[in-house]
Amino acid sequence: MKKIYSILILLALSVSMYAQDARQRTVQTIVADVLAAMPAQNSSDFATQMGDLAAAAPQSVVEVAKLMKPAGTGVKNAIYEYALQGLVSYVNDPAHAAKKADVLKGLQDAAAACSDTYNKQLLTSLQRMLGDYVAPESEALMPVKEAKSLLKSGATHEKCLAAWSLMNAQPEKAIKTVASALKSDDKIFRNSVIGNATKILGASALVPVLTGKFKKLAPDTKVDVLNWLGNNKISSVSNLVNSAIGEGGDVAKAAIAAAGKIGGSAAAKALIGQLGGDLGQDALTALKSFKGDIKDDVAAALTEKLASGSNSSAVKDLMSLASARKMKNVAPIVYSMIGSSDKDLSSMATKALANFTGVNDVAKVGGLLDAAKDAASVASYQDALKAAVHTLAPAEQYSKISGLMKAAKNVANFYPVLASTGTDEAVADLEKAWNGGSASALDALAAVDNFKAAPILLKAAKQNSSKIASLLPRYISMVDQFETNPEKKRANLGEALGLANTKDLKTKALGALAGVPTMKAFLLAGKYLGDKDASYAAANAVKNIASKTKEEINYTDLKNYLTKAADVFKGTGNADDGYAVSEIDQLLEAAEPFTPSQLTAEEKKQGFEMLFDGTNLDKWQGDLEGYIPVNGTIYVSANYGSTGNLYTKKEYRNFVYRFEFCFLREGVNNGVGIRTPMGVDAAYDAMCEVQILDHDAPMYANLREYQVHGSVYGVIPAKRIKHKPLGEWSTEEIRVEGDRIKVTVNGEVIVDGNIRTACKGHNMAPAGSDTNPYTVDHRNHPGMFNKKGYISFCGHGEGLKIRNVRILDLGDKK
Amino acid sequence: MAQSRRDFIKKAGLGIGALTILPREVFGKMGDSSSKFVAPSDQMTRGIIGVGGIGMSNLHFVSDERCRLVAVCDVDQKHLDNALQKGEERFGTKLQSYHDWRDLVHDPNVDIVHIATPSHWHGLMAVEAAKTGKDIFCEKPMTRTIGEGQKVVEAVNKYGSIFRLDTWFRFKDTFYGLGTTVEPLKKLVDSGLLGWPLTVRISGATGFAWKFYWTGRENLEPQPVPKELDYDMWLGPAPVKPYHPHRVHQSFRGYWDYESGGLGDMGQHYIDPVQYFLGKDNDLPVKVEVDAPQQHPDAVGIWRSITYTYADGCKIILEGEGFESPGKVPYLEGPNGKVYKGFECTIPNVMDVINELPDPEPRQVDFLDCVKNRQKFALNEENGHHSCTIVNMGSCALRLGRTLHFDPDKQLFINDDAANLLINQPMRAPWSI
Repeated sequence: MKKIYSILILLALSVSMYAQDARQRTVQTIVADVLAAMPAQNSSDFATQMGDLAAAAPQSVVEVAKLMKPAGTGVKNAIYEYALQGLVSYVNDPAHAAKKADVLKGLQDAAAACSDTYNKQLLTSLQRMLGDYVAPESEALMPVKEAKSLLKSGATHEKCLAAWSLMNAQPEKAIKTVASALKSDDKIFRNSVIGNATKILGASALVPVLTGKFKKLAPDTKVDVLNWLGNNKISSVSNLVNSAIGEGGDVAKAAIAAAGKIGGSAAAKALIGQLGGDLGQDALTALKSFKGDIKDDVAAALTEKLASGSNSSAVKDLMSLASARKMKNVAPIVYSMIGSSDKDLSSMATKALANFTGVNDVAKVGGLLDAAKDAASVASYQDALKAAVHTLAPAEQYSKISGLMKAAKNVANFYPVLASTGTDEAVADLEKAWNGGSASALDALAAVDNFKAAPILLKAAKQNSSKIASLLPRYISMVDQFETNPEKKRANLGEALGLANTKDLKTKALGALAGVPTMKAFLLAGKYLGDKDASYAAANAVKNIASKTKEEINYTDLKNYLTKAADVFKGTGNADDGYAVSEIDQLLEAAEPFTPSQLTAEEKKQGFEMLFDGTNLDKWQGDLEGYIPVNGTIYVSANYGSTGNLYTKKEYRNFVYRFEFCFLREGVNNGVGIRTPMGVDAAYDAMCEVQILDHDAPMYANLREYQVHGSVYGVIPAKRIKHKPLGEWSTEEIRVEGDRIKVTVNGEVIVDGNIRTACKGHNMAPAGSDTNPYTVDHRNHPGMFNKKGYISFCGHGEGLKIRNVRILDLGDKK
Repeated sequence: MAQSRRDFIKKAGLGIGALTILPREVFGKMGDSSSKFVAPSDQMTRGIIGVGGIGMSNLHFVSDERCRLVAVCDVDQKHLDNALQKGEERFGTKLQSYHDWRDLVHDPNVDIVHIATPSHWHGLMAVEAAKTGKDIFCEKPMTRTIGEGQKVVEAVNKYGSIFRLDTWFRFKDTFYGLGTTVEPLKKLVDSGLLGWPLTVRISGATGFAWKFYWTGRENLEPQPVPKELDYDMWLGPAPVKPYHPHRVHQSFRGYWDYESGGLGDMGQHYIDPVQYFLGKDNDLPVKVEVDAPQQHPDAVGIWRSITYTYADGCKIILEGEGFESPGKVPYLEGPNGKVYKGFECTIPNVMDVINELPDPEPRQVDFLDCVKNRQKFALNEENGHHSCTIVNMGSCALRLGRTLHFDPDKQLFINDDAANLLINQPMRAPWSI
C-alpha cells in the first residue's frame, strides 16, 4: 500500500475514508496516493480521490501546486492539473461545498507562492471557478431622445438599434414604431422592426397595425406582412391572405406561401386554383405541406380540368400533388387517363400509377402489365404491381403474382415483380426460367432479396465472365447480409475474390471480408495486401479482423500481414490512416507471444520453484481481480482504495525470492510483503514490506531514504537506484534468513541488513507508546519478528507488471 | 471591442458611421429605378474570416454571380497568401486581404461576413458584424459558450442582421451513417405513431462518429511561434498559453479554450436536426448527465456517454466512440416503435402512413434569398443558439464531471455557480463581448 510518510509533516489528519486503511495518513501521503491515480477513470474513483484531497485542503492544494514546474522539455504537469481541476469541480458540487473555502485558500496560497506565469494563471482561473456566479449586467437602453434622433438620421442598422431601444423602453408605443416602419422603403429596417415588435408585444397584438391598411401598403411591404402572417400562422385574416393571391407577382408568391402555412379550406381551394398557372410551382409546394385533408378537392379539380381539356399543366400539377401525397381516391381518374387517346396524359398517368395502387388493383394492373409493350410502361406497371401487393405477406404476394403469370402472355414482364416477393418459390421459378434461356430472369434474380438466389448468381458469373460486373456485387452484398456462419461467409467471399477482376469488386469483397472475424479470413485478406488494386481494402480487412477475432492467429502471420497493412496506411498520408497505424501497433504489441518463464539450470539444481511463469496464478490467492495474468505478466490493475493484495498460497520462513518488474507509468507504488498474515498492513503487521516504487517520479522528489525502492519500509533504508525507463524490465531478489534481509536489484545489492539490530531489538515502543524511538520511521512494527508468513504483492493502482516469480524455500535453516 | 454604446453612437454621429452605409443599398438604387426600393442588390458580396480548412473548402471558397467573394482575412500569413493566390487562379480577381478581422468586418464592400475561425472567436465576430450592419454566415459550432450565443442572438435582433449557422442536416442530405434525411423522421415524429416521449441515440451504432481524435494533448512542451502566425491574434479572447502547433490549425479542437473536441466539432451537426424533428427548436433539456473519465483543465478528453433529458422526458443520448451500446441499437425510440439506421422501422409499412402525410412546413433554405427578403434562414441565430447550447451544456457537465440541471427559460444551470461560471467566461483583455 502507499505509505509515503514524512516526518516533516506531522500533521495528523483524521482521514477515515478507507475502512481497510485505518492508519492516519499525512497530507503528502494523501497527495501522492491521489496523484498516482490521476486521472480518475470513473465517478466513484473520482469522488473517493477528490474527497481525500478536499479533506486535506488547503495543505493538499499547496502540496500539489508545489510540484508543478514551468512548462518545458520533459515537464509533465498533467497529473497535478488533473488533481487541481478535479478538486475544484468536486468542491463546486453543492454536495461538497463545505470544503470550498479550504480549497480556495489553498489555491490562493499556492498562487502567491507560484512564480511561473502559466501555472499561476491556472491557479487563478481555478480560484475564479470557486467564486459566485454573477449574471452579466444587461446593457442599458439608449435614451429615448437619442434613439429618436438616430431613428431619423442613422444608417440602417443604427435605425434598427434605435427602434429596438425605443420599443423596449416604451412597449406601449411600439405599435407606432411599427406603423411608421411600414411606411419606410428600407426593407431591412421594416423587417427588423416587425420582428422585434413581435418579440416584445406578441404576434396577435400586431395583426391590426400590419393588416389594417394592407391595401395601401407598397407591394414590397405587403410581401413582408404576408411572410409575417404565414410565419406566425395568423388565421384571423385568411381572407386577406387568400385574396392577395390575386394580386400577382411577388405579393402573390408571398400570399401563396402564407396561405399554405395558415391552412383552412378556403386557402386549399385558392391554392388548388393556382395549379397550372404562373405560380403553379409555388402553390404546389404549399399544397404538398398543407395541413389537413385536401384529397377530395384535388380529385374534384382533376376531374374538372380533364373535362374542360383546356389546361394540361394544371393536370400535371394536380397529378404531381396527388402522387406526392399518395391520394388513393384519384385512382379511378388515373385509370381513365391511362386509357385516354391523349398520349401525354396516358403516359403521365402510367408513370404515376404506382402511387395509387392497392391490393384491389392487382388484377387490373396485371392485365396492363401483360399487355404493355414499351420498356417505360413495362417498368411503370411493374412498379404499380409491386406497390399493389407490397402490404401482403410474401407468400400471398407470390400466389397473386404467379397466379397472374399463369394467365399471362408476356411472363417475362412479371419477373421483377415476382422477384420482389423475395420468396423461395420465386427464386426457384426464376432459376427455372433462366435455365430455360431467359436473360431477364437472371436480371430479376439479381434483384431478389433472398439468399437462395446467391449461388445462382455465382454460377452465372462463373459461366459467363461478361456477367461478373453486374452479378458479383449483388452476390457479395447478399453474402454479407445473409450468411451468418463465418466459415461459410469466408468461403463465399473467397469465391467472389477469385472472380473479382476490378478494383471496385475486390474492394467490395474485402470490405465484406473485414466483417468476418476468423483466422482464415485474416489469412485470405492478407493475400491481397500486395495487390495494388486491393491493398488498401485488404489492409483495412486484416486490421479489423485482427482487432475483432477471438481466434488464435499464428504470430508470424499476424506480424507479417499487420506490418504490411501498416505500410499501406502509412503510404496514404491521410490523417485517419494515422490512427489505423497506431491501432496496428497496439494490436501487435498485445499479441506479442510469450514463452512461459523457466528456471535456469542453476536454479533447478538449487531447488527453486516457479511461482508464476506467465500462464496462471494457481499458486496465488487474494485479490485475483486486481492481479491478472496478461501476456505472460501479472498486470496490476487493482482500483484506488481497494485492498489489492496478492498472496502466495504457501507460507514461508526463510527463502530467496526472485522476480522481474516493470513500470508502465510514472509513480507506480507497490511492495513485497514478507512473512505476512493475510489482510493486514504488511509494513507493520508483517516482518516487513520491501518497497516497490517508481521513486524517480517528480512527485516523490522529497522522499525519505527509508521510503525509496527496495527499502525495508520504515526500518532499513535502501541505496537509491535510478530506475530503468518506463516499460523496461528490472530483476529483483529478496533473500530472507532469520532477521537478515538482503535486496538486490539489477545485480546491485541495495539493502543488506538485520531488522533486529536496525531497531535495536525494539519493534515496539517501550511502555505502549505510539512513537517508537528505535525505528527510523518512529512507528511500531508489531509483526517484525514474525517467524513465518505469506509473501505478498501489496499495492493499488495501475501500471505495474511482474513476471518470472520464483522462490527457493530455505525452510527452517538458520 | 470594449467601446461603449455611447462611444459607438458618438462615433457614428461624427461621421464614422458613414462608412457603414451598406453598399447593397447603393447598388439597389443604381440597379433598378422602376421600384422605389430595390432589393438589397442582385449581387451580394462576402468576406471570409479564417481561410484555413473550412474557409478554403470547395463548399465555401467560391464566388459567383449571386454572391461575389471580395475579401479574406487570416492571422496566418501562409493561409492568407494561399487564399489570395487561389482567389486569383479561380476567380481571376485580386481579393482584398486583411490580417485583422475587424478591418474586414468594417469593409464597406463586404455585405456578408463569413466566420470560419475556431469557435472561440465566433461570438465576438458575429456580434461585431451585426453591430456594423452586416449579415452573417457562421460555421458550426455557433459559439463556444452559452453566454456568447445569447449575445449573438441579441445583437442580430438589435441590428437587424440575417444570420445563418452553417450546418444543414435539418433541411438537406442524409446525415452521416444514419442513411436517411431528416424529413421522414420529422413526419413520423409529427404523426405520433411512435408515441411520446422519444429517445434519440447518437452513437457509432447508429451511424455517427464522434471523432475522438480531436482530443488534446497534455504536458505540451512550448515551441517557438512560426513567424507567419500572429499567435496573440489567433488566441484573441482565449487565455495565453505557450505556443504548440497542436493548439492551433485543425487540432485546436482538442483544447477547452477554443472548442470541446469531437463533441464541439460534430455535436451541432448531429443534435441540431434532432431539435428540429422533436419540435424543440425553442426548448432545451433540463438535465445533462455525463459518464466520462476526469477531464483535464486544458486538453479535452474522451467520454463514454452524455445524456440529455427534456422536461417532457424526451432524451438525447450521445455514446462515445468505443462505448456504443452493443447489438442493434435504435436511433429513435418511442413507447410504440423504434427506428434504426436507414429508416428501418418496427412499425409495419410505416412509409405508407408517412407518404400520405403532408410534407413538413417549407423553410427558407437559400441564404442569399433570406438576405434579400429579410427572412430568417432555416437554421438561424435562435434555433442555432438552442442546438449549440445543448452542445455547450455537455461541455460544462464534462468539465465539471457531474450531472447538471438546467433552466431552459433563464438559460442557466440551477443552483450551480460553477456551471454558470462556464456559461459566461471572461475574455482576455482587451476583448469583451
